[in-house]
Amino acid sequence: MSAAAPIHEIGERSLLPEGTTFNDITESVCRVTETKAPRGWWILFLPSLGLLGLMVACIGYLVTMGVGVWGNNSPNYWAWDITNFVWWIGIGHAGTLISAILFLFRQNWRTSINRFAEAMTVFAVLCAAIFPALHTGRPWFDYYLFPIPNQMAMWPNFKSPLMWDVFAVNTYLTISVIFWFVGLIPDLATLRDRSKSLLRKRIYGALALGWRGSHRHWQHYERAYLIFAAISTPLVLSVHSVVSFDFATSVMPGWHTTIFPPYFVAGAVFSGFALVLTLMLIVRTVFGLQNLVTLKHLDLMNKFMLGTGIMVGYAYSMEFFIAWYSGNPYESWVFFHNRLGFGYLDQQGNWGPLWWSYWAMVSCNVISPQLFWFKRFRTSIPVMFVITIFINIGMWFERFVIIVTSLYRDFLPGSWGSFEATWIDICLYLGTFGLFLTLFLLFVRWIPMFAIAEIKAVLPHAHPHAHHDDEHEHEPHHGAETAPAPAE
Amino acid sequence: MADEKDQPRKKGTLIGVGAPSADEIAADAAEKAKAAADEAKAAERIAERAAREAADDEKHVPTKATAKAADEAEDAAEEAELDASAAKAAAEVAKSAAKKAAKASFEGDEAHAKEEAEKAVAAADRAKKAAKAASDAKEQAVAAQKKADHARMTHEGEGDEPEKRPALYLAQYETPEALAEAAKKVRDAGYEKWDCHTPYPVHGLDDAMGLKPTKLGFVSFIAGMTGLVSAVLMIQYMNNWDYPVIIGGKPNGIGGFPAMVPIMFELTILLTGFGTLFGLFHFTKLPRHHHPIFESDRFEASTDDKFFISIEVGDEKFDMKKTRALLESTHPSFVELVEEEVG
Repeated sequence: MSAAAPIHEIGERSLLPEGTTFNDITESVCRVTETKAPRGWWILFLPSLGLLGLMVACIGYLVTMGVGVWGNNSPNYWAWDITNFVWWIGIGHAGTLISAILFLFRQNWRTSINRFAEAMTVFAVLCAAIFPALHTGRPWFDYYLFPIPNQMAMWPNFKSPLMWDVFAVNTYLTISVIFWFVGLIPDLATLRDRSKSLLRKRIYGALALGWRGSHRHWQHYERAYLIFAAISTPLVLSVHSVVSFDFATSVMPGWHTTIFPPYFVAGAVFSGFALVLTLMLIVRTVFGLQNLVTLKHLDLMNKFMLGTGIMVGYAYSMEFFIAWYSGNPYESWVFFHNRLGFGYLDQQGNWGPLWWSYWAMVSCNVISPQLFWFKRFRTSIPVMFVITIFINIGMWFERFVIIVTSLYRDFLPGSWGSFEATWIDICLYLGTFGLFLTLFLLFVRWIPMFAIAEIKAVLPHAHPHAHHDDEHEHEPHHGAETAPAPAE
Repeated sequence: MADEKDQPRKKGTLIGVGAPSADEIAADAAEKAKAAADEAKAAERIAERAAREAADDEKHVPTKATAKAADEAEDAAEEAELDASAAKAAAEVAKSAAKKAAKASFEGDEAHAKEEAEKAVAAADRAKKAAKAASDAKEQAVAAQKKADHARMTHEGEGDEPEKRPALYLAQYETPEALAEAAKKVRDAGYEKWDCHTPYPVHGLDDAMGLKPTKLGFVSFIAGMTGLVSAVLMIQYMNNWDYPVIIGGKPNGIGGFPAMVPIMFELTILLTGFGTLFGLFHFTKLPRHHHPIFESDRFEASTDDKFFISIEVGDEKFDMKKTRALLESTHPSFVELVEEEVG
């Protein structure tokens, strides 16, 4: 909610089409929640509900049978579960980045995507939390993770990075929910004031907390928003850093790396933007919201993906450099034999059997986003849709590569193994998509999926400005001179 | 006086029949008066009940209709009582007039007897009328009571215009510029309990309204520091004092500080977040689901595309005429007096 006028000197244009009025925004956003769901919504919703059922069934089976139904086994005690956890947490990071960091940097274009991305953050973190909770083996004892007195009279070990994770993820979830909800209050009030039926009025009215757009409130509200952005920024950087500590503080070759925290954060943002964009492209088409999320927004998001894609590419290559430069044979073994499948062969003269996962990661994450150097591809919806899917896949493989290929062939050839996913690994992962998409589709249907108040605030005529008379401004500047509209 | 003879004769005929019946007249009047008094008593009882019930209702479901119906019942009862006492008085007069008439007639004073008889007849008539009025009043009371009952049972009265009192003036503006200009005028006029209502935060309104900077940051900071300190105390208590855990030879006290940093950080953030949220609630006095401003239908546009200024009645400078004049001088689309329901 910052100064809105585009800087024409550097070629900036208004974010939304010329002549967009406040009411246009209210209408186009609220309409989604007030009309019948389009067929596309049902086509997405019913399979999502089915996948959610699959997830519930898988969790039931897993809790009944024990974690042995997963493919995790010596030497891969961590596998898909932690991969999925890191992947989902990473997805969430885009939301916080967009809502908090881009806010602090006064990137007004974020207003069209931030609500959307924040919702994804909340849902993605919920999906992520399922995996470590189940991975404890006895999820009914998960309260041991929290510093609450228990019958063993023992406290958690606060020196453990896994404990840090508990705090980081829970804080992240809590703050994301609060930030999201505070951002929603004015928009829920808009829905309340437009409600025709008593039920809608009651529900949205209750959620809007009696918001009446008072400037005395806006003053505190804007400060609160700024504070949330200011605390979320280091928070989001810390969460994936803490997740990376799970690996980096161990002594496993391939994990014990100081580059991990920034590398994980960049990867998280990368994958998060990709998933935001994938879903945004679908929702934008299904609900016909091309006026609010313009090609300009998509173009900017693609630039972000190009940038973060290059960062992770840099991290990948730097790991290899350090593996070679450190002269540590174990480190080199992990990178060249286990991952790259090149340079180090085992006694039978073979490459590491999971080499293909590394190359899947590189082609998806490093090679495919290079197309975004070209404006033609950055503004082509089919191209960006395919690339975002690639990036989502690639970032999943990145976590798989980090976890499994570091573990499956380590110091002792006698303890080598490989990894094969079981059907429940696969179904549970697919099932979390059900949870995510169900929540997400309910969100787009019932909650304003664009920050109405924030988009209004970035329209060119949103603020009284005496300081610059710009030939591009068409709105009357001095209200006192405008003829008062006749009273009804 | 020419037809004095005729007249009395005529009357005389009447009195001739009537004079002996002066007692009858008086008895009749007394009966009427008694009936009127009875009616009045009944009306009073009914009205009392209606009033009591209406008062009860007003505690729970205050509707204008019940109150009005109760008032009507009460009025009717009062009327009935008045009529009844008038009837009584008239009956008294009729009685004494009839007595006098009978006496005069007995004494042979025809003229006087006639006069008194006339008086008695008139008084009896009055008593009759008063009794009828009392009866009518009772009927009215009954009807009013029924109405009150009905209103109470069905709350039909909610559809009626409830009693209201002014709460605030609401002025609407079409652009943020107009709003900011108007806000400056209201600020300069020295109002305190007033506000701007906008669909999004309009920049420059802080100054235009003369608002002091928010103290929310202070609250958040205190909350954050609480989080930081509690993280240190928690970790030290749990891992160093209550049940020392020594892992990998890492020290527990200040020497183990680096391992404490992530949780110190997270708890600082967590409590800052809560502090900000509840600080926001504190400063904005939200959630608050009822506010007289919502009585205005026009105000619904405040979350869409219109801009409003409200000045509350509670302001010391508020004046029905002057405040309206001030708002009208700021070129609003219109000014509206928003009323809230009483009770």
